Amino acid sequence: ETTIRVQSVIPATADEIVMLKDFANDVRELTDGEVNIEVLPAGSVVGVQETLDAVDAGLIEGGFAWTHYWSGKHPAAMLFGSPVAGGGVGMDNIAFMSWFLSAGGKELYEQLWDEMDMNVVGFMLQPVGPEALGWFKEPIESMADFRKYRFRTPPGIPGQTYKDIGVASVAMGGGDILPALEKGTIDAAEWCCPKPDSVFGFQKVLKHYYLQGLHQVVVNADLYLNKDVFNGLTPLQQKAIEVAANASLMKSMAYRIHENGKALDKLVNEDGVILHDTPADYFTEYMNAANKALEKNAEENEFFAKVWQSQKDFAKTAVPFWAGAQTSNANLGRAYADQLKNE
Amino acid sequence: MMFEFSNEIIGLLMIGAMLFAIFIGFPISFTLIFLGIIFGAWGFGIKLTIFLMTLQFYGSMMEQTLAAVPLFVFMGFMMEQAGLMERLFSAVQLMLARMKGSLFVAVLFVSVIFGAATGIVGASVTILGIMAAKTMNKSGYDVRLASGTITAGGTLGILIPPSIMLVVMGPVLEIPVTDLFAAAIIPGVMMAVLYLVYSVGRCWINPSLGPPLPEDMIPTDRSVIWREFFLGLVPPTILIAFALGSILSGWATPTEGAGMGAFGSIILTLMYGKFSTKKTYDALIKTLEISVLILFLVAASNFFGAVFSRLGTPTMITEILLSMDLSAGAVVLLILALIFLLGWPLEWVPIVLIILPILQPVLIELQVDMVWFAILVAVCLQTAWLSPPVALSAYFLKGVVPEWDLKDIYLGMMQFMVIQLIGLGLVFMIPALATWLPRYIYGN
Amino acid sequence: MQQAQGTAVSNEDDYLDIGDELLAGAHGGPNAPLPDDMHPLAKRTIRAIDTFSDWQGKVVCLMVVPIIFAMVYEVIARKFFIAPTLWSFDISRMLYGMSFMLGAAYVLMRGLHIRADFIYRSFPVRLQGWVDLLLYIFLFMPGMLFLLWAGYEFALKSYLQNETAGDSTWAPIVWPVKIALALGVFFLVLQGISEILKSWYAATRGRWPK
Ligand code: NA
Ligand code: NA
Repeated sequence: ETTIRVQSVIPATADEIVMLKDFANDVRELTDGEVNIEVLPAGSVVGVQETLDAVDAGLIEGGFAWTHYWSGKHPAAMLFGSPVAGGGVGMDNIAFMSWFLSAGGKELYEQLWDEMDMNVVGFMLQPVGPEALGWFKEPIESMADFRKYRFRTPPGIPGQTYKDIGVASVAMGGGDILPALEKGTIDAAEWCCPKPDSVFGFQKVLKHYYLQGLHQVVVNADLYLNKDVFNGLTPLQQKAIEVAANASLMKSMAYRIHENGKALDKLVNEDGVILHDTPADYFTEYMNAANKALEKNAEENEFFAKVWQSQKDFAKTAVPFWAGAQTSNANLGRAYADQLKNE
Repeated sequence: MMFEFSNEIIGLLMIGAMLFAIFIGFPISFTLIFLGIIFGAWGFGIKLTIFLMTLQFYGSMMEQTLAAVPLFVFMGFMMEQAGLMERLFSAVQLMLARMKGSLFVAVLFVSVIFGAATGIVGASVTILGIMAAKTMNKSGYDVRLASGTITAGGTLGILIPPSIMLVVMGPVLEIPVTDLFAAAIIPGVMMAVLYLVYSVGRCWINPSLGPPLPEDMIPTDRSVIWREFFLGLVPPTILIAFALGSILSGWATPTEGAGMGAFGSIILTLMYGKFSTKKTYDALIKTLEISVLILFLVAASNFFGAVFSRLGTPTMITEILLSMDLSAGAVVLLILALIFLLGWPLEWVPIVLIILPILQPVLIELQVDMVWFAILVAVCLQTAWLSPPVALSAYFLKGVVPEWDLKDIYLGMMQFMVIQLIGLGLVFMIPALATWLPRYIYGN
Repeated sequence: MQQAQGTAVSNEDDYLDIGDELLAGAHGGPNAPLPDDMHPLAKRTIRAIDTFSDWQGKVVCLMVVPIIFAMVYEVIARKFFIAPTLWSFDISRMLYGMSFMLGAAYVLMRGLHIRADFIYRSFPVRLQGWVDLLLYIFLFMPGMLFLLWAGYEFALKSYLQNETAGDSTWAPIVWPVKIALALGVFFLVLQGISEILKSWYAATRGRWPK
């Protein structure tokens, strides 16, 4: 019997952990109780930023985060965890999964860990995008309005891109965000999606919520195991983890739509949050700036360029089809949502 | 065979060894590091233990909120060197000349203001030590009561919002942080009042603990007193406007506010004509000394706590607790007792992150009001700063007031741990202390 | 005995009042004269190391100045010009982290790392010397040498992959902080040698070198 301790980077009650435990349960049952994945909350052995190093060294057997948490170790991690503006080539989270599972993404993902010189094996588990644009003190009608507000942005290139389009983006640790909003140190902030955002309590301070955003339109959480630990498993056990991981991709997507839907319903209908459409000029400005940032990174880093090229090759044929199909999905859904509003 | 011990038991032995080893008298940081290495190596191997230490030190070095420590300490030294802080405390003493224990009132007042502006215990304890201890010494105040008031007052910052502890606790217990902030206000002020009643009360019974000014030192002319008071009040007021005001008004985050305060102290010494390059450089050196003392100890105890957690002992104790079949009230009481005990060897971070998630489902099942529970935990965890031997407040205070004996500081803190328990009992028996304000503000 | 504590520097009277509380500060500074009966080689070593550590303190203490600047700049730029910076957050935490590790050896030289010394203080000096000597050799040195070794590899790996901060928007290189960690520990090991020599003197002669 093998116990694999996986330290996450979020508290034990988050939705991601619910799904991670579901995955752990699948692995246990598939291996006849031989492989037990035990989930440790953030910070229980090492700090959040040190999780990957700890797995690499074997201090803990596994870690769970979003791939882009390790952008500091390799810039290409962002292309897997949160490709800014859909990789600049229009991928949504489902299209990303298509690239990942059937167009060479997975092979590049495995190579990523070698490029980082990390002794780990990774498994993509949870597509959790799209994330919301964020919460605002006042409604914004255009980019000109957006630029008037001090906006807490996500780390790395997605955040830098806001700076590039002239948004007053503020860097701030997670613990400071809510007090800063309450006192007006910042006027707007992003965190994640309706469920985690409402657990955080944004709705008590800000009322204007924008769902459509590009900084983390695709977001993926993954599990990485120490390679020696993984190699110590039987081929059947290894296969069980792989199969359970693939199952988790669909299960998480299903779970998230349901949970976020319920949370958004409560935000709008009980907590008095007003939902807005994001100004149209945001999309073009952010896309252009994101592409520049991607190009700059591709020039500087060979592997980054290789991954991005693979996404571009995929998107060239897949995105026009998928966007067309998605438009009918979106129109269909919006028609129903409008119908609900009028009832 | 000693190698047959489970890791959880090794963790218990580590705590036992620490309770003994610290009192040999070697620097505490290095003692904690050594014990962490020995027991970590025993439990899970030397290589991993050393690596864990590196990660913990690096993690402490990159913790931006702690950058406030050197900044506040610098502010304190600048003010102290220019003699601007002493004046305030002397002025308060003149104002309340005939009142016994008047300096305790001043210390607790500053504590509450500090608590409302920041959540960094190290900063408020050191700054109160720098500001108030000299005057207290001169006036013949009781060292134990004085150090207890300062250390306990300094811990108010993690209860009174904004509090980094509540920010961490919110997501763990799935309560909006805003509700926790609102819930902590009344208990925070209540604790300050309890401290006040205790310290001043004891002075009334025994005036030698906090003597009033001798008659011949009290100016007969009231206008002199008012003049001293306002002159004494002006510089700290300006400084508070810079440091704490910038935080409270939303201009700055707590760390930035500390930077504003440090900057403000330079401006102020310039305005009072007391600026000198040499004195400023001395303040910088002293700032380094005190900050290293605090922060190196923080890193070392983070490492020690991480080894303890990695050995699995906290989880084991929690699971034993949960295996007992008890009523909701009894479970809450037992949890508080557990947290209180774990607070002796541990700091609040591992307790919040490791114990609470395990307990949360049980409490939900028992239908315990989580806001109320969170505040109980917060008040209980405040004692972690006051319970020796891993009682960082004591060491921070000793660092800035070396002439106070550590033993006296310990004994002083312990008195306030009793007050803490009384406060805890009040919140336990009267849940509305915690739950009323968030309901009033946010409805539901 | 050298008075080295923060709040009451350079006042001989103050120092005498509180003398026995200041065992922490018993181990002298770079300018304290060393006794004549100390071995010249030990003297030279102590002098060299203590002077080196003193310089570390003199330089490292300046690092708080740019932190103040970064914080004030950020507040003003954000509040009045809606032009927050991305660098002030990272600059402040990196400088803070580097300063407390790089200052650790200086603080050890000054004897300021806190001790729970109310029992230790009542020991005769010879016993204090032995306790310190043994603990510096068997407790302090192994801990610091292990940390130095791990810290070195940690910093090297980070430098080689040119690691940047993964948790900030600005995402600066972080290996300088990791190098400061290893370097700070290296300085501590050096200062440890000086402390061992001082404790050896106290253990054999029955008084602390002043
Ligand atoms: Na506070
Ligand atoms: Na404690």
